[in-house]
Amino acid sequence: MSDQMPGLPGPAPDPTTGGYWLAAGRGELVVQVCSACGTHRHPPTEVCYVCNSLDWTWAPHDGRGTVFTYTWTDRPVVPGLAHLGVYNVSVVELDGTTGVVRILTRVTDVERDDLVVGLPVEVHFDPAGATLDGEGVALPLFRPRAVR
Amino acid sequence: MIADPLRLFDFCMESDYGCAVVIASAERARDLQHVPAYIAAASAGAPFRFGNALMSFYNQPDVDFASSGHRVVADELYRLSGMSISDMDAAMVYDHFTGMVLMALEDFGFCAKGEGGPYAAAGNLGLDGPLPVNTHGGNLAEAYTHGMTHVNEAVRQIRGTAINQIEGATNVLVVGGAGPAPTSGMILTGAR
Repeated sequence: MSDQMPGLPGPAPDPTTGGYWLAAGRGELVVQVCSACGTHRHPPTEVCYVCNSLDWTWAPHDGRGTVFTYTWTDRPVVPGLAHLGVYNVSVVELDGTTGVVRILTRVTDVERDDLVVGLPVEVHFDPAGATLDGEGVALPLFRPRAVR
Repeated sequence: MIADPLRLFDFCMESDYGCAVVIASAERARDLQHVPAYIAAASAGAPFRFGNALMSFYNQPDVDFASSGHRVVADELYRLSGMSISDMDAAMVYDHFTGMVLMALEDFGFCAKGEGGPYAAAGNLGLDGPLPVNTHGGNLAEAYTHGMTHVNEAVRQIRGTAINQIEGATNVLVVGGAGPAPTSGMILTGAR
């Protein structure tokens, strides 16, 4: 569970995805990057979809992106989301990656009429408990950002 | 509104059902008591990175993002059958959600990308239109049979035994499982 979604199970870090959730727990966004060809990819997988390499690492990202698409859900899919009322499910495309990287997420701090494709956003984190080892995990969420 | 822009009747219902399709060689089918429909082409697949087993749909390439995933299936069906959209007398399209029907029609080339809505609104999918779609009611208005009754209805149209019969129906496109990878499709024909 997370602070914002107490009725839902939280992330379950595994050897492939763990680094993503643990970084979020530290307040950092990371993206998997292929050690062979440099392509960023998400969600984390073992094999690069471009060059088939099995070698990868985590690359830090500044958490800036734009809204690629979204929907507003008027009826919660599960009771654990009911307290959110009407909520959005959004896809955010990160800036400055090698290869397109989009994250399935939610945009907070935004009214229904103000959420549009292309809206500049920045990441923030929704604490989601800890692993059995006591390391914090979190969900990356996004909110509108001012563009200079 | 359920999930913008989908409203209640944009979703199919849940149903209990049973139906069957008997597939035999053309030679054997000729000796059976019912008029056969022949499989002119069948295909299953999906474009590169389409759906990624559903969990990463949001990272599929732009060319297929707003699609039902049938682009490569459509190409193969037309290639294997030697037919084109103008040969189709009807289409039975997997319709768990209305939007997937529109995008499947786009994937199969009946209208341009993004034009599925206006194409349907113009009456093209009606019984008297150029491409009657789901004359049995489909998942949305008959029963959610995971596409199986779409096959049955195509066979009935070709036999001439459908409730909403299209006069002279010979070639019928059947579009399976829109959305997840792999998708699928068939062209059934009465011509031999």
